[in-house]
Amino acid sequence: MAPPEPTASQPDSTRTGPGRLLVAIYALFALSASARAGVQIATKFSHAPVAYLLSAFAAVVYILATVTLSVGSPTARRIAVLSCSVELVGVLAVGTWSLADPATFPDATVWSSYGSGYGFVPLVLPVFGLLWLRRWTRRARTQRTTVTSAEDAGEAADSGVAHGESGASGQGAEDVVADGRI
Amino acid sequence: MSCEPGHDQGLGGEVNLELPHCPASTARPALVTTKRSNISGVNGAVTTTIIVAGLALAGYALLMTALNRRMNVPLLAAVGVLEILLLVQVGIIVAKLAGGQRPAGLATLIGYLIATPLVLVAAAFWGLTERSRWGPAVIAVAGLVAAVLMVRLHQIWPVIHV
Repeated sequence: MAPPEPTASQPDSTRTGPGRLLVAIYALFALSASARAGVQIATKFSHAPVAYLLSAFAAVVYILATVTLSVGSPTARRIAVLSCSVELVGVLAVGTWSLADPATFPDATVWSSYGSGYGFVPLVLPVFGLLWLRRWTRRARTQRTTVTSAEDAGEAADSGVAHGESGASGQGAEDVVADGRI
Repeated sequence: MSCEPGHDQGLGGEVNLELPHCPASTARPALVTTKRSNISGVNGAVTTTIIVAGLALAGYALLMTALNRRMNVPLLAAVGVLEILLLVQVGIIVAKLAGGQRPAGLATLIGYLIATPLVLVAAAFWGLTERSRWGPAVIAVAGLVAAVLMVRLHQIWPVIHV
């Protein structure tokens, strides 16, 4: 068999290399969660308001992660870390909540039962997202001396180290960004 | 009444919008069984072909990723074949809608009809711009999604038997 083609060993942004796959899956979930929440809220909101609002929240988080991962600037990476963290906290919290209190969830959300309706991809995705962002942050800290300003890279590194933040702080940043975007 | 979440599988929407969601304590197994039987019972040739082709495409693309290959013409050709099959399926369903038949979840079905042909095209563009093994990986996801979309279509509208 012919030797593998030479490939770029170092992706040059968060949307290339493994990030290409990550952004694709995030985009898929952004689309499906938005569509699902849209249809549910438009057609039968009173049936399961908590579940549908959580679906809508998940959709916003997925959209934010998709956009920031594909932009990949130091600021975008910082927001991506926040949204992936919120996503991880969200899928764990909603997953536990949905199992502990099924009455609140007469209908499923994306994150119900830790995303079992989606093959547990919602549970795994933020972990890979955070790993990918951490790798990027480290590279920015160690290798990047020319391309972007040292100031931005330093800020991104700081936020990347602290990506185990609580859901509350992540949610705050989420709101700020959502206000700015929408 | 216990009605556990998590059985509404997959992308957006319900199977039976008009039916009560927790009719009985046995709702869960009954619902799952019904869904499964829909899939196997009313499978049409086109749907089956798409599911098989989607999984085969995913397997081939994953193999390319494992072998560190980039996107190439044979893979793109396979994507094109699957896209044509998806367009045929969409055409068949649109023809049924035009013939006056209506599913319970019409809005969801229309969403699927719009999304289904777009997924592969978007994945092909996104994968082509990648010059590494991760381009085929994107195609692998798209192949799996095509298969899942067919299963979901049948859950939304079990009368699709082509």
